[in-house]
Amino acid sequence: MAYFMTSNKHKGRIRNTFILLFIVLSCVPVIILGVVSLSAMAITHRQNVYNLERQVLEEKSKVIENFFKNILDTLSIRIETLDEQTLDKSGNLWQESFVQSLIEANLAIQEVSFADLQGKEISKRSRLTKTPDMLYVSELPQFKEAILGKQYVGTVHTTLAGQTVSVAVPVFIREKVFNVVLAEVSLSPIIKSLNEAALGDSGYALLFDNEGAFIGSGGKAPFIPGLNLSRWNKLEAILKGEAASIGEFGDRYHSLIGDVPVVGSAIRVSKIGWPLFVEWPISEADAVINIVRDKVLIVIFLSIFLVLSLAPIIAGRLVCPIRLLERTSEEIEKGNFDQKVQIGTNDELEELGESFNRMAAGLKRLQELKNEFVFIAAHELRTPVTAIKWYISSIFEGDAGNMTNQMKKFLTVIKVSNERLVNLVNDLLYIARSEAGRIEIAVSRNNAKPFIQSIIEEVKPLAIEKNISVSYDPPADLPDLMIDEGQFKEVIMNLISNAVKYGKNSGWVKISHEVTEGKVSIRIEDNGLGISEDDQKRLFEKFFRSDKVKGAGIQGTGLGLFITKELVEKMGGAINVESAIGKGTTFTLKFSRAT
Amino acid sequence: MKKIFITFFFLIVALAGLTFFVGVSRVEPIAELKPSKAHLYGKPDVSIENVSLLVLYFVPKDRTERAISGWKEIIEPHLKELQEFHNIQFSGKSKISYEFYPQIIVGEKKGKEYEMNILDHSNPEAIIPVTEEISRRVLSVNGDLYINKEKEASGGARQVYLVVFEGEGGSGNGNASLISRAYLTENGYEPFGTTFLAHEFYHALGLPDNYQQSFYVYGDSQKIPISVLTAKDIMGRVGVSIKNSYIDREILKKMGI
Repeated sequence: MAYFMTSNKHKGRIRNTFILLFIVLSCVPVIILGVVSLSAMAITHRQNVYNLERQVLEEKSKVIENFFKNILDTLSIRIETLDEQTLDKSGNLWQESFVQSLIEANLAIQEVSFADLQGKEISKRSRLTKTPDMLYVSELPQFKEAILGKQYVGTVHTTLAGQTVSVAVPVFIREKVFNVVLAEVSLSPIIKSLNEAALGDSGYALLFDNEGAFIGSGGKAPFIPGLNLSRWNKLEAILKGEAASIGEFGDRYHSLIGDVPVVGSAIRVSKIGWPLFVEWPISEADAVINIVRDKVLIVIFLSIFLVLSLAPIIAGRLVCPIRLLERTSEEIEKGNFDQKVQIGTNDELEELGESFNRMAAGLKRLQELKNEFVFIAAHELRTPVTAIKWYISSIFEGDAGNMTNQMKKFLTVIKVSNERLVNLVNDLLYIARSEAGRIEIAVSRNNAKPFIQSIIEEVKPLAIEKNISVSYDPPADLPDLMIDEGQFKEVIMNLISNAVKYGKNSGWVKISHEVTEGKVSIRIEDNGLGISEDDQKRLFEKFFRSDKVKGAGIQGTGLGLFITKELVEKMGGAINVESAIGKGTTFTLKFSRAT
Repeated sequence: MKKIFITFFFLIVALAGLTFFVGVSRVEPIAELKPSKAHLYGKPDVSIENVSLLVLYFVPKDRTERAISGWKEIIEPHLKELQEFHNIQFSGKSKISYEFYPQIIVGEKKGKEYEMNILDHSNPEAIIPVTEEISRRVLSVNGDLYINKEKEASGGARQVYLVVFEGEGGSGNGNASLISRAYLTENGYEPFGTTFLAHEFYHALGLPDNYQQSFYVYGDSQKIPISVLTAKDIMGRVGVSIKNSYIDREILKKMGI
């Protein structure tokens, strides 16, 4: 039993090992390849998106820089030819002339004025009001900056008409500041430019001033202009100078606009330092890469599904020759040496199969030699033991004169031993004949009743000796059976004599019939020792004798039930056993009814 | 079999990792912006997230014939412009609602008696005679024109009174502001009427003027008094349409914006 368990365990193990190896060797490279390809795709894609965003940022930044450069260039006036005194005496005529030219020069200039060195506006033109009032501006930061000879671009003002910024530039005569030009400049051209050429269909730009106030964006304004977002960590980092730009590979974050995940990058517009962001919703930025990624994943999943599906099949094919060898070896174990292994793998396994077949042929030859030896030995032994039997019988019948009690005692032992030897020789001879195919069975219509009764008579002396009652109550209309008379008697003799031999003293043996359509059963039932379940499985094997029987000192060859089963089956019948330890045993024979 | 199950487990884990982690974007969560709250100028503890404006038309007793009958319809467009202006300047963090006191309030005094103070725009107490009378007559329980506006303005709204005065002047202080009706109706003040109104209204929210008194010295050393702008916003310059006006960034910062 332990052998079979170990064998089964090995059966599962080698197939599982093949499956495991196949899965590991196939799936691991696929997964590694998947990781590498997906990672490489993602990195490349992010770099591309980042490059695109940087390109848009550079373009927008350039537009903003150019806008302010144009404004400042327009407003910058350097007077080289006239001296200060001449200009003072000219009243404000030249400023009047210039101021008109300046406001006409650029539509973004909403208001422009000249202020003298005390901060009084002396000449002014405005698109905001028809009659602009002349103001005193000496305390304005733009004037204070420009009077020092510097150009000034102030913070962004948010009005209902749009966003503006205050600009001031000094007017030089030679290297000396003579006047200051102050202007209010509309930022609408910049905001308009943000709308142009953004990223894809949904990408947009966001512009803030250097205090973090929202100026504008491409597309629909997501915030009220002027809203201060300097506490947004991305913007804060840029405003504080902690990052010159964000998004080395494009930062991915949830945008403040609608909580949409975006890829964002930002820079500060050079010179004016305004933070400029571009954000591209991930849904669009990653749309193509996601499709490719999905396809790669599908290929990986399909590959692995294929591997998982094929692994058991391929493992089964690899194990198949081994299974075939196993099954054939089981047949050989049963004595069927004609079984051949057919392995057509054209490799070492095929060679192993051929070697196995040669081994089986060798075993068959050995078996035949053994059978021949047994047959010859049994046949040669039969004559002398029969002669011994005849002479002992003659001695007991007094043909050799009177025997002393001592002689009778010794001869009884010789007689019993000789009987056993005769039985053994007969059994061996039968087996040898049977294996040599020399047993002839001639099944014909017979009434079993007289055969059984005659066997009972033969066994009766032994039964009386053990005080075992043998009862047989056949039905009056017991149908005829298709049996061989001689072999049937042999079978019945074996079973009844066994029942008596292994029965308890003062026990009983019952022989009965059960007639069904087409079949007649013969039940031989006793209340003897009984047979364990394990022993029942091997009961009909050659030379099998249970340990219990051996321990009880009951003599036997272990061939009786083997021969019985063979004979029954050769007559077209069947035999089975039911038994329980201590409760007795029932052998049931089934033969075909004669028609 | 155990090894196969373990292999399957790792295979599933690897595939899950491949699907959900490899090459997948890590997206930072939305940044939490600490909300700022609009408050009175320099007074962070007084919220102006909601400003409730009660508009009253105040006519001195000797000028009842000058009083205009459709005053609400005339003033309302200015108030709507003020609402828009306020909304954009405060980035939507402060809202103005308004209502009209239903009837014209006829003052107990003559016009000149009120104007003595009101015409002095730089005097923060100039408006007091008018607001004192409104407080006594309109807002006090025992007043002859009592209306319980304090109660109605509860719920966090900052109550501000805008007095449209039938006479000259403009001023703002405390929680009240006053503007001459003429600024809102006469063509000569177009298109600055709403700018004037807003200027005085923002005084009621604590905003100072963005100009200071100084002198301009001409070439002959003649000095004339002038107002020098410190910012060109609505608290400094009122000679522009409210559409082109704004509140200076430094002021807004002091109001939590």
